[in-house]
Amino acid sequence: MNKEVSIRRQIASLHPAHVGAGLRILGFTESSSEWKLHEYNKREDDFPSLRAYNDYLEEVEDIIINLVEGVDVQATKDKVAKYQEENAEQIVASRARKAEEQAAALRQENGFPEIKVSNGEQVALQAAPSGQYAPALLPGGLYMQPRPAGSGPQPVPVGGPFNNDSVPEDEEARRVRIERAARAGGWTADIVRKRALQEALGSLWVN
Amino acid sequence: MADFQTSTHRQHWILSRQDLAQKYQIANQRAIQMLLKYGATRVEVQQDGSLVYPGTPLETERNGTERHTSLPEPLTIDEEFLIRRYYELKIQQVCAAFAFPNKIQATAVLFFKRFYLQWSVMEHDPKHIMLTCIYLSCKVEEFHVSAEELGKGIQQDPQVVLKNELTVLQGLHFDLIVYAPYRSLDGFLFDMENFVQGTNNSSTQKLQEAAKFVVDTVILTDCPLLFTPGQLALAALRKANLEERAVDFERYLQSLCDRHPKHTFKELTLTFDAIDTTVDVSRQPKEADLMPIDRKLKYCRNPGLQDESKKRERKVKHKSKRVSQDTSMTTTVDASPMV
Repeated sequence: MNKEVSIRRQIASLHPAHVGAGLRILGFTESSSEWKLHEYNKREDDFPSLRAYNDYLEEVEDIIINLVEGVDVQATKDKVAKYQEENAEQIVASRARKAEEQAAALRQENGFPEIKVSNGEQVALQAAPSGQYAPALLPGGLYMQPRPAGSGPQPVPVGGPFNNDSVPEDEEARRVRIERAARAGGWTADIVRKRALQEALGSLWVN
Repeated sequence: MADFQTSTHRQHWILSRQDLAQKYQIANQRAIQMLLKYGATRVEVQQDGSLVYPGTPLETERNGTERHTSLPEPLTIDEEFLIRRYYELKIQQVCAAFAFPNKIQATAVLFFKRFYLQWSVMEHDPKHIMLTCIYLSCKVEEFHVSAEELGKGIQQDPQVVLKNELTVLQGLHFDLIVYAPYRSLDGFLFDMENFVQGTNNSSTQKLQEAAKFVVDTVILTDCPLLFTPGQLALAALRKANLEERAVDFERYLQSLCDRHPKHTFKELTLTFDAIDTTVDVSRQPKEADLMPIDRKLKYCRNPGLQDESKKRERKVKHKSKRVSQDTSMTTTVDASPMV
């Protein structure tokens, strides 16, 4: 089971959110299936017809079954790699789209308590009868507040520094960014020290 | 992760001095035999990757004595050593010119050394092997440069590199992971920092740089084939500390031995002394010394060149003799230039 989950996670970097439905059937909760599947991330509207989309989904399921059962692993992996290459651009855009949607959803969740505090009963009265999203009814200014500055409608993952047109990145900021990226991947400076020490003490003697 | 204790570096490529001398002897003898047998020592790589000694097999016995006089003179083991040393320095210079990371030149030099344990310098052209070693080292240390880039950078033919690649890999027995002393050096410095609280950053920095410089010179000697990287690193640290005087090295070494009872203070000190003497004794050959050796090497690999050059020499000698006869000057200048 864990193996299948991890494989799905990998494929999902290339794969659409709908495969999460399959996971739900297997008994996983909504929240866990959300963050799976970010690779194969084509949506239904990316395909010309429902039939094409279903074919694509079936292809993905085949790949996953192959990897889980250990059938034709090498051929399957080659297929995945090839897909990744062909659709790299598309994957990035889809990922960005997904990130934006998630951010929007989060903002809605957080938006409610903030707005309630500032506007009090007025908002609650408006929200209840209409049943629409409350942020849509609010005066535009309040809604815009939580939104991070500088992010356009389609934030591209590597677009961080380019949005800041005021000052080009200097050496220090670049180094900080690189180090933060490394730490996000689980690297710590301690690892370097430990490895050096281990090699030093381990290679002091031949016998 | 990379573990020295289980590595092929430790198992196959740390030898004793006798083994080392024996291997050089064997390679040298084989090359000399090939010289007698085929008239040339060079080994050529065929299309299918097999190695062949070209040149026609010489006739034995009957013309044996006459043949011997026209055969080129083979290199001695010491001369081979000088040539190798020259090309190892060249490797370091080329890698510095390309601004490769430090580990690449260390790996390339080690590959070069290991390859010439199996083969003699007369058999494979050291220049081509040098380029191939750099290329392989870039691949192994995950800093890939294409052969074309390498060729463009130093104005050499990239095909040479690709042709020799498999030969070099086979010569290395495909043992590609090399432990250079640099990481061990960093490890010992960290350990030293923890142990000696009083040191400030700048002195450790200077010590580190001085030690790195010492390691660069150590790598050029035979030491990496005789001692482990940890020993080389500590020896380099000790030597650098003699000048920088950043730490009390004796105390540190003693504490190291106390913490790891496997090593004794005396053994380690002896090892470091051995490394130091080897480094101090060896010196970089000068260009002038190398010219005649290089010429010998060229003739060994391709005796045809020797005949051509002899003809040229004779022509020039004739010319100069005629000139001196024409003039009425009594002084005869020996004008035969070295080709």
